[in-house]
Amino acid sequence: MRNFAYHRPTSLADAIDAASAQGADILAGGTTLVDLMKIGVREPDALVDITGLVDLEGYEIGSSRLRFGALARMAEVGDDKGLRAAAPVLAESLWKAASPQLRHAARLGGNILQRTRCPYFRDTAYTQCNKRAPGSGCAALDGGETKLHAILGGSDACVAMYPGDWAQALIAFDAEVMTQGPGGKRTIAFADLHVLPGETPEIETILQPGEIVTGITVPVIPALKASHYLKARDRESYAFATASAAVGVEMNGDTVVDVRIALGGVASVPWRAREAEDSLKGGPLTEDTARQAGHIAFAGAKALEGSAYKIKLGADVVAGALMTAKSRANGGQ
Amino acid sequence: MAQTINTAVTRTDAPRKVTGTATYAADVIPAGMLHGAMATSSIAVGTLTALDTSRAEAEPGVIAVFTHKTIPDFKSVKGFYSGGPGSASFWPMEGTEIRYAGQPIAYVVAETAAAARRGAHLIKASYDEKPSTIDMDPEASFIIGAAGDGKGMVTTKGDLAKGLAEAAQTVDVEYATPFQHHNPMEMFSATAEWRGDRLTVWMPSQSVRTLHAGIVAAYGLPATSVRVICPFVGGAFGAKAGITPYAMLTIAVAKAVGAPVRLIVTRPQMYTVATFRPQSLQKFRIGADAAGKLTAFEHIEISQTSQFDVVTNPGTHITRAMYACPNIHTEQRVSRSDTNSGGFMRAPNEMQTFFGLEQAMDELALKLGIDPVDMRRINDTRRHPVDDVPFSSRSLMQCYDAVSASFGWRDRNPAVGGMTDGDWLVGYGCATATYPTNILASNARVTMNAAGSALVELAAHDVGTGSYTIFAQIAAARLGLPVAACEVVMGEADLPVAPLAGGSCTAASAGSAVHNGCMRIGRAVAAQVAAQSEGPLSGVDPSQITLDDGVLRGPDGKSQTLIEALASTPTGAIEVVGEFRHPALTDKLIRTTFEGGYGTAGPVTPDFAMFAFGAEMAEVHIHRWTHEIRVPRLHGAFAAGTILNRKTAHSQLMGGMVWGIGSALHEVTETDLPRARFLNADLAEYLIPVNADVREVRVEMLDEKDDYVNPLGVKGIGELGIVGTAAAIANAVHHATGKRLRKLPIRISDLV
Amino acid sequence: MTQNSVPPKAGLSRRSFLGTSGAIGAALGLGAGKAAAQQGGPVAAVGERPKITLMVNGQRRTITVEPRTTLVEALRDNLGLTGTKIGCNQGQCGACTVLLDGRRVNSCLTLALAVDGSEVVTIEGLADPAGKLHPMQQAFAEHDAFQCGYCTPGQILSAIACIDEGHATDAVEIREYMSGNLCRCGAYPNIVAAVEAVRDSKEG
Repeated sequence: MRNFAYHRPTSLADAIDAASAQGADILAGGTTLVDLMKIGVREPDALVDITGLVDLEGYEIGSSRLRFGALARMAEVGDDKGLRAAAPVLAESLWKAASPQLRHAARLGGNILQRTRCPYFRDTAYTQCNKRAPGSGCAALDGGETKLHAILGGSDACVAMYPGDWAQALIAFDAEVMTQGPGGKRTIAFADLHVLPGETPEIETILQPGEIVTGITVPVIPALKASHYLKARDRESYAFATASAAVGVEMNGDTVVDVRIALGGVASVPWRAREAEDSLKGGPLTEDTARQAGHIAFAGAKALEGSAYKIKLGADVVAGALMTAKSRANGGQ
Repeated sequence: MAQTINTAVTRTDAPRKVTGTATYAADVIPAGMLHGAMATSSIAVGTLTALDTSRAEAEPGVIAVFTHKTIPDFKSVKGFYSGGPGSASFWPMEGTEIRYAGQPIAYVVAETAAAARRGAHLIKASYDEKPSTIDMDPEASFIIGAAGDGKGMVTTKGDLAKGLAEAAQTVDVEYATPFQHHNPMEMFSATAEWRGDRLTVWMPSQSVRTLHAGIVAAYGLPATSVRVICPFVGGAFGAKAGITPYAMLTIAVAKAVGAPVRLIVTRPQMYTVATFRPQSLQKFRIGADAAGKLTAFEHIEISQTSQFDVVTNPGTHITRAMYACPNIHTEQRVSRSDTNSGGFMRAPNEMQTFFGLEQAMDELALKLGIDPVDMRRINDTRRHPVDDVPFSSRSLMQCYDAVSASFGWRDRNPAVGGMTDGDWLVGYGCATATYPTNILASNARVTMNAAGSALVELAAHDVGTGSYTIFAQIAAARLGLPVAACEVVMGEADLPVAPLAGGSCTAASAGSAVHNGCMRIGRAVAAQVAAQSEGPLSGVDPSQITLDDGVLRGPDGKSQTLIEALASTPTGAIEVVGEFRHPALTDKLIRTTFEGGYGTAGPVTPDFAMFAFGAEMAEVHIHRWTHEIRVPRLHGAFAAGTILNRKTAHSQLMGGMVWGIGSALHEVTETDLPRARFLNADLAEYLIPVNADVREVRVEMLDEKDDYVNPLGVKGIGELGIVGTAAAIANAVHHATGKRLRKLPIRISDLV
Repeated sequence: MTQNSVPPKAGLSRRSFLGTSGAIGAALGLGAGKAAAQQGGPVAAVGERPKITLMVNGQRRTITVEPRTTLVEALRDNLGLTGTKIGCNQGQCGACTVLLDGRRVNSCLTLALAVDGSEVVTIEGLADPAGKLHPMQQAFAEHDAFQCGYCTPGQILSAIACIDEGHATDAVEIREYMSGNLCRCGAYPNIVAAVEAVRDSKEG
């Protein structure tokens, strides 16, 4: 790890100041950043440790909005019984991520900014990686192993996958991200936070230098209570999603009033499947319609070498998640 | 005290392991120690054209940077099984040639580990790169040893073509297994300290004497000038068996900088600086008559090897011993690609071959409409099918009977896809496990005093296997002492010769030396008390005095405890060296072990074939939506001769079965084909089972008596548990889904 | 933003198995390094080696670190507490698990400077001064919940936290909440048995 200057501001204003400097990275739980620094992928001149901003540690399960401080810990929030009851998808996508130790360290604001696990990005021995070294090429697309890469949202420059879980729940339920930076405060629709790789995969979000995520809110809607995060993975725990779905439904009798579907483990950014949602609204939710929605969700998918299975798997995971959500809408588990 | 054998004794080293006071190699911090780090090649094949070390040298805290040009006194070592699975014959940093990705190219010494690693990261290499390939090409394989006698590792018995023609059903199938890496939790490390011409090395090793012999030979030092120390090893599984370049580099660098140096190999580097389980292809052609009796058996194993070595793990020598068959053909082949040399990884001959064999038997049984367990029973044999000697003991079908009962095999619906549990498809599968009994020479020094304590010393290892505990148990049982009164000292090269901790040989071979040492104490003390003018055994013919449970007993029933007898001797204490030399061990084999090699007799001697056996049954669940594969139940019954400690043996077998789950469902070292690199070289992306993957694992250990293998009647159990697990799971997946998956690991992607 | 009703520090002392309070650090004047930060300036510039103070196993320890020094390096190399193991150095195996202000974390991903003033419990801090093992240590020994023993310090600390967090209600939950600690020897069923035994003895 390259050595660096270390700041530990106690006010948001000082934090923004320090983080605005060229070469500064913001440190919260460190579970992504310290790892990337160890393997030489990130080499900041300075770290701005914002964990001293204790005002950002709280969270609230409100009746109309759920509010999460950017420095709330994944473990505390994911294990919150109130959240598990009020918004299962938000709790499940937290506690099914990483490990207890990582969740105790990792903070929510950092979690949504988690970096890709693409091995070509992480191993600096590969000279080609447009995300790490813009313009250098893409080793994955240059004959590399792509069975774990994005089949949605990728570009000719980059097919790295967004690895997180919680973000799928947030995008599905219209979360908003509050930030503060040199230009002041702003509120960003979660769906606008991440940007597609396109020709500039090094740019992953719309956040500006020095702009710090301070909180995340989620409006409470009926579908949040009948929600589910289904994560398919090759080992039972402590594994990234092979495919996942964050879903929720609101039913009126046998008719779908509202439905939310987002996809994980398959896309370059958190991925909302709006057309799949639309296919279900106003109609019945059965295994058949759920499968149909799953297929629609992947209609635009582009399989890479070895990743065709993700299209079928992703559709099945969507369908399975919807059936659990429906059961929850009907008072089941 | 005989009851200490075959009982559940808590590990004697448990207090140290649960308090953090067990000293692993990298826990030793010699005064003034500096830290090392390696830079490794980013290309697989080519020539190093330039190495820019200036940025590394300028990094604060960095003391020195060594390259092939500047490293003084670096010695390559031709250690045990050199050029084979013990250690690679090609050594890095001897020149500019790059022969595999991740090959060490420079070594940085710094004041802190962080500075050393940063320095290594800053080294910039330029290469003249040549084309490379990492996956083996089975079409380009050749028979091992064919160049020597023109025949090589081939078995031919009877007439295979005739056997196939006579068969009512045949299978002709191929199974593929991937590169796998041992990934012991303890990272590789080496700490070297020179004091003048005296050298001390702390390094996790399965064979301190191999390392010691190699260093002594390389530097031309007197044996007494070199100490190799590792009382505790944080898992090895074959990865810490050989002499590695990173150790010899650290020794050379410590000498050059004049201070102790410790290198901790990074987890990603662990994938390239030592060995691994090579890729393999297992080709089977098997035929049976309508009653299920095998008429033809062909197994061709093709495994990956490096460009510079022929790594030999002859799995066909194990599979051919399993089932009776008049017509047998086997070939042991390798195919080269651009990697470091592979080596031993837990059950190196057996894991991948039994994934094939035991699925092929299942496939054939299903074709014949025969229950898979009955298929094994029909073809069980009392004699080795090729070497035609009897098995010293073989309780395979007793194992199947036991595991069938505990598992409820007969309750299953044999129809494919016939069982479900909610959203899960359910399948049952079974497979045979075996492991050869390796026999090696060993010594052990045993000291006893009349105060009632004993000391057992030998250059063996406890790599988590429980050796500290079972050696104390053996001494306690023979000498009539409490286990706690028997101290065991191991893990130092200058202790009495004991074999490498590999091939499941330690309990059987080193344990027998401990046993023989105790019996020698009995004979020596008996001679002394018989010669005394008074005492219960005075005047008795010493050859007629036996030692049993710490009691010396004459032919007329007169007896005296060993402690009392020892108290009556002038010194009140005795020290002997116990020796284990099985009749099947030739002088050459004994010498090999004494020189730091692996001189094993067996598993087939002129008199007997020696194998431990087991049977495993797996229940798998496959989720209808996520296609996840889980193993809620895994049962195994094993017969491996005498079980010394029912607690640690249970853990060994259970751990092996957990490895089997990993092999079946998780483990694969992915390859980047264009650049010939291992791709997922860390513990996040190289999946091994986590706690949640392991649910009910039941281990049954059957009583089995075997007087031939060694005086304790012990066979090996360290590797037996993994063999067969992957096939049992694959067979269960087939039972659940109808999909026959012939490639490891079996993943969600295979079941969608 | 409205704060949640469970402030982290309060939750801490409730969970801290040693029964020590999160307030002790403040009472002893820990966190000097934090206080030393200049308004707006760095706590440590590149190349500086500030002093930090940690309360390690109930003892106040002051050491000098680089900004990049991780907690596990500080424990092992600066303080000689080698009971905490490094298994991957990347937050992927859990061998380096310690309790940091009562929470289990991977000490290899924790910057020592960032936790200046914190309480740390390592494997060395579990047995009482007379050497009597912590119940979890005892249970691991009795249930043979390890083989090579290398992951064991981290497993034991994680297991203590698992129960204190309330994540040991049944075997399924224990398995899930102990999945951040890899054991290559495959001792998992025995680890679960040890956790259950300690949980049951607490309930009884």
